[in-house]
Amino acid sequence: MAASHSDEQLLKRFVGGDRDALGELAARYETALLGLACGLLNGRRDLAMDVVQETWMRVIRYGRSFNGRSSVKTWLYRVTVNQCKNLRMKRRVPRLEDDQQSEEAPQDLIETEETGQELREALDRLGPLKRSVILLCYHNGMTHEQAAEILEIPLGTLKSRLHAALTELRAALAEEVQT
Amino acid sequence: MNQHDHDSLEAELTQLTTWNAAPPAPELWRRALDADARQKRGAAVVGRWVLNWSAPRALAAAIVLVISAAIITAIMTRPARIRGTGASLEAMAQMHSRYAAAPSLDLNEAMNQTPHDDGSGVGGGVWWGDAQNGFGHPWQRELSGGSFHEGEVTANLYSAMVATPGLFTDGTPQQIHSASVSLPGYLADVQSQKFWDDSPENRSVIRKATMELIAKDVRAAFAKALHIVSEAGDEYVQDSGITGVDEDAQATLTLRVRADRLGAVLNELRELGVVQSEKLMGEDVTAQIVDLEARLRNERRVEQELLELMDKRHDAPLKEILDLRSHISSVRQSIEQITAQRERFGRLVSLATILVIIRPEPKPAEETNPQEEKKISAYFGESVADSWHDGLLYLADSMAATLRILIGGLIWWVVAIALLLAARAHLQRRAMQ
Repeated sequence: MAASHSDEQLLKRFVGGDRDALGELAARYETALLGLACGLLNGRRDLAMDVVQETWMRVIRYGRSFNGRSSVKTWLYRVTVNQCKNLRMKRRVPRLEDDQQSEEAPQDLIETEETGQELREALDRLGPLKRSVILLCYHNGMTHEQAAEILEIPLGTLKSRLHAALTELRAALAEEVQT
Repeated sequence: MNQHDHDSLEAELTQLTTWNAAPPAPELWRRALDADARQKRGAAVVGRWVLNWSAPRALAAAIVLVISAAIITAIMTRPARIRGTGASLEAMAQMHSRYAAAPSLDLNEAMNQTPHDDGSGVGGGVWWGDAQNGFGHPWQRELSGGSFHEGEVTANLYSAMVATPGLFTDGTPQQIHSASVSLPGYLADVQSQKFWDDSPENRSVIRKATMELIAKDVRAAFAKALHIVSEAGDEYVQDSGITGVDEDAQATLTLRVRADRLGAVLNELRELGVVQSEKLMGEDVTAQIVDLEARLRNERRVEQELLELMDKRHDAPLKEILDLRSHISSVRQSIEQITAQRERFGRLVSLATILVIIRPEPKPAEETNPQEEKKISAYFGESVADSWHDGLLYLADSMAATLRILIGGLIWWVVAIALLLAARAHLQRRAMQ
């Protein structure tokens, strides 16, 4: 049984020409990155796949320049979050209900859980910063320290923003229930 | 909020960022690898533009920039070179600016403004024209409307004048063009009175002459002209210069000679070559001098009276004495100013100014027999030869301009490269994230 390599070692191997190392890295993070991207992009799976593919493109292009000041995991998440942010800035990402009627987005590429719809709408009304903080903090297995590092903000700032964002989210959801 | 209590909210949020669908096939990292390989092969992936400056590209861009700049510079400098007047254009521009200042000055200052033609000699015609314009400003216009003494005398008119017995002591000059116009009125005036009145007590005239000569040997004529001036008689060469080489040489001189020797000096100058054009001008400043002298006498009388008054009033209050001294001081200052003006007029009147331009003989035009028409092949050959020559000049210009841009703009190149590298690093940092 082969010893498991760290992310940094895998990246180094890939830069050295081992394509399978990238596959191994992807096996660790691709699904998680897709989930985060999907959440940040209003459940648009097609866009999430574009973003994650672009993330791997960056790894391929700039892996050689990776300086190790942060972990590979942090880098991957940071690229994904930034790509989602850029995508939302460049084009309006339709809401889920719009997506369901959209011809451009096939049904199988859209998250369709009805339970999440209200929450997505409430999140969409939050600012991009608060949305990112909430989704990143509640992303599977993500610690607050890691989230702060990915967003490049101090831990205290992250916590205060998270608190404010949750308060706002709860208020929005309560308002929806009342109406 | 009942529906979304704290725990369920956290669970839903976690669920939002969970990928519930099947993993994409092929895997996204494989797609990324394929896309990158296509890009490297030159098949650009359209849809996401990434600025990826590589060193060869930056170098190529810099080379293209330099070559473009060199070509533009060469094209801009080329017409001047072909006409052969590149150097003289700047000189002409300077002359224009100098002459623009000349008209407001007096004669002496205007002559001092007379430029040398330090161009290639081609601009001489313009120089001459400008010289006429320069001397033809308000000062000259004012005079041309006055009496004969105060007007300007053209060459033809002057030739008639010098033919008049007694007008010039040295008789008729050799190279003067014969009179081609009838001069009844002016000639009658000339014959009835002397143009150059040598008696300063009667008339004070500032005299100026310009002469354009054509000489076979410009340098020899230039040297002879310099020797015409008699240094012993307070005469001097105010300005002299020779431009161009060999057959293209052109000389200009500004001579200051005694007014009573003006005619003799002009005759000597005429012997140096063929007179192309000649102009004489005179400004009668008798009235000004008389006025100055009257003012001077008056001021001196006032000064004398004040001095006498001061002698008589030894016992006057101190304030009055001081006032008196102040008045005497101002009167004396006025006397000094008037004296200086009078002396200046005296200098201008006593020394005439002669501007001489000596040009080489024009090259004889090649005699062509209209019967012998050039064959098309000969014409083509000449055209090709000319084009080849022009092409070489163009190449030389381009090389020179390139060197100028490369070396002269070295500091800017360094700055540009530094900025480029900084921008590249910045973009790369952004692209990584």
